[in-house]
Amino acid sequence: MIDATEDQANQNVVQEYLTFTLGEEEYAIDILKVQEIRGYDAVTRIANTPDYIKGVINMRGVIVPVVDMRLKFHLGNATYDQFTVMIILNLGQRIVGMVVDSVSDVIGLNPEEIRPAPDFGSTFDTQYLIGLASVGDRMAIVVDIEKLMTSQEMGLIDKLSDTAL
Amino acid sequence: MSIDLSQFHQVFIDEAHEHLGNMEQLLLALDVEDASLEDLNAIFRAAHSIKGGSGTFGFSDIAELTHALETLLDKLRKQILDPTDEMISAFLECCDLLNEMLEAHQGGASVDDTTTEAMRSRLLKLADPDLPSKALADEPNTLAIIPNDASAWLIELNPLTDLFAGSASLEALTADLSALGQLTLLSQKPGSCMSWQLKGPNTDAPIRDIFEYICSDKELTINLAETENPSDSEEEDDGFGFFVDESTLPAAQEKAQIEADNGFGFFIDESELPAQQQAEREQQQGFGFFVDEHELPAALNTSAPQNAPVEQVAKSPKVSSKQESAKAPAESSIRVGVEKVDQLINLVGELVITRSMLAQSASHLDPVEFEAIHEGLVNLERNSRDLQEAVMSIRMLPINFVFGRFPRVVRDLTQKMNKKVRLKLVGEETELDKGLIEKLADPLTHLLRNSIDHGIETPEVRTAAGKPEEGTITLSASHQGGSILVQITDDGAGLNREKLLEKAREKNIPLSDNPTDKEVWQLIFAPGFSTAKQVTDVSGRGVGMDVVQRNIAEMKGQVEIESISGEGTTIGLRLPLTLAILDGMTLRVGNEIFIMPLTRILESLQPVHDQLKTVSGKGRVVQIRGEYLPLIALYQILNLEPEVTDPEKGILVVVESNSGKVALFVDELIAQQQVVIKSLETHYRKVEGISGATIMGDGRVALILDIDKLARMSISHVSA
Repeated sequence: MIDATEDQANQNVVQEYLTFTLGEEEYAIDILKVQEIRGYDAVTRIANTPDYIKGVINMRGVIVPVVDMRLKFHLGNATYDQFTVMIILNLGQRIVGMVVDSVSDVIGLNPEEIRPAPDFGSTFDTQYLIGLASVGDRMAIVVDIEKLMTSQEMGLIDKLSDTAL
Repeated sequence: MSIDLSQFHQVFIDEAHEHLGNMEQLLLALDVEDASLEDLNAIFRAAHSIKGGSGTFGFSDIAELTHALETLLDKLRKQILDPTDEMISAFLECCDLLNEMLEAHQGGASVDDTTTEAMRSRLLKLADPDLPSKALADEPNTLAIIPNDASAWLIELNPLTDLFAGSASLEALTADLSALGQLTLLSQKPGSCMSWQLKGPNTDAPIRDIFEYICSDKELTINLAETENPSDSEEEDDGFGFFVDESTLPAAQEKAQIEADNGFGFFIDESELPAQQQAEREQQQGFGFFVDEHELPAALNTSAPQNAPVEQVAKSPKVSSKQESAKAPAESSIRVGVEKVDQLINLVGELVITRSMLAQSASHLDPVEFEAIHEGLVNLERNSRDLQEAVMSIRMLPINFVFGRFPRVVRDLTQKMNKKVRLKLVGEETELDKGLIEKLADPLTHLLRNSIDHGIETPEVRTAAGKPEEGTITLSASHQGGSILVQITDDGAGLNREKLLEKAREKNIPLSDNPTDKEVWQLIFAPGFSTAKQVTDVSGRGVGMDVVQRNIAEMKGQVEIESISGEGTTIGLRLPLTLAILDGMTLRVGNEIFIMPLTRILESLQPVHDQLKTVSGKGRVVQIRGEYLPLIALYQILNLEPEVTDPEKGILVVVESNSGKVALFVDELIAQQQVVIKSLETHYRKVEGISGATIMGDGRVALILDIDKLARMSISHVSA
């Protein structure tokens, strides 16, 4: 067992997290970043993009890109049926849809309960991980979803230099 | 000044800017040799409106300056003085100064008094060259009602109709007259036939002015009391007296009186106007008059408007509002925040989509059984379409809003540089989004300055080169496909390839061994790049073109340069029509629906085998009426699974791209429809070959094709 770092211990505020599954793994993201959860439908494909970018959807008049996390991180089977769910994330200025296997729960986590993640054993690059938390007898990987989605790796955002001719 | 007023400051400042812009435009258009009275009046009105507003809000410096401006303008208007170039220049500089002052006030600061004072005396000096400027400066402010005991006038009123049906107007009239001097009522007969003796005014003009609004000249006799000249024409058969709307009468009288008193008479001699027309004007403006009463004080004592007592406010002349409302009674506008309009546009877009979805669901319903629903949906469609168009049009403004300022820029610059340049504006009515218009102003000014400074030669050089002495710069705007093309064309020297290359070597800018013209022209966008031999205050510092390009790139536009040495340069700015509705053609490739800008489509056809050729085993071309056009298969470029891969079974759409005509191969054309352009970049990023997205009737997203990009992509596709 690794001890919680001091600064984390200073905060006793319970934050709520939304947990979802990708394949065998369970992930948790800050619920304040979640705008809504909806079914997967009517995605318009965009040419010449990586396969995990499924395309764009119309979310009440707003064109929102959709990322399939299962394809991005090679977890689970990327099948699309009436049970496929999309988590719509609101990350500051941007809205992004994220396809996952299933949404499980909303949990409250004390910062102390989130343990630093080890350097290995996760599909996600550790820089996007906040830590690990135990939920009952299971373990959830707490992800900094904003950092992940706005990273170059996801390719959702233009590089700043792209605008130059 | 009360807090209540300060909240209107912004409105006033906005309005004043508008008036100044208007004034400037009129001044520039004014022909000094043959100035039209109408224009002079319009300029005067603008000046007056600013004066009125500034007085109300306590901007006494602005009010004073505009007052001087007005004094001179008034003389021009009345044709006491003839306009000169000097005056026009003074007016223009005064406009600039006023703009500065407005900005200063907006920032809570104040403008240097000496500058305004200098301008003021300059204007007054122009207004009355005979008087020393100092004395003149004070003259207009001492216009308060000072009775003097000069002459006595005998006023006889013989109206054809009963003018004073209500007593109020008579009282007001009496009050007005007594304000002029000592008034004695001599007789009063039924039917409003009256006579007075009035001691005071030097001339009969102020008295006539008062009566001008009540009755025609024919019904009025004014004589000096001493001399008893019979009036020349007492009665005239067609002298139809006109009625003033009861309620407007007092105000009209006041106005007339003050007008007479302080000497800025407003009307063109009333004899020029048919009485009926005047009557109409009176009626039209009757309402606005009173509203304005509270808004526009000042004028009477412009030197100290803050102190203006309420009585004076009430008496102030409504010169401009009167004329304006008479001219365009229906003109009115409100100022609304842009974000509110945007919100409206979004909501309407939603409404339209929802309607389409409803229509689609209802299409399965039995038309007989659910007749009412179908009918309702048809109505809904019509209404929502109208609504959408109306809402969209709010944001669109004619490009004239930016073009309008350029005649001035050209005038100033050409004078400074001793060049002769004629500015031609084309397509000023082209509408584009308000946001773009504002952002266009700076880059366009830069380009225009460059054209005048570097492009157009001096008259001597031009004559030597066999060109007309006067250079021409054409500023044009037009819709081209999904974008707007703004072009600045000059017939000057053109870009100098050698000079540019030399400079590039000097600056160590890497270049290919044998650069094309296009590459060379691109050099001028490099930061710090200038071939000007001399740095002037106009241009030559080498900042500018790179800023222009950056500004245009920010608007997601492109800068194109064409130049022929000795013949001139054309710089084109291609801007997207954000927020605009696009006339599009929906087409299908495989399962995907795309939108193509309709305006780019030249024709569509199903080719026969003989028309299709391959070039060196790679690219395909299609022969259409003797032309060989590159064939671009959309499914290949966009990595789609098409229904057909044989162009003979699909459809070829011939489109105009900026690299020439190309034929796009698609599965099927579906329909022509208007779509609302939505940006992909808001939440995603730029996509090659796609200019935007839209939401179709079924709620799905459809991508809008970027023809130019696709054409370029296909070239690299083939050569790869």
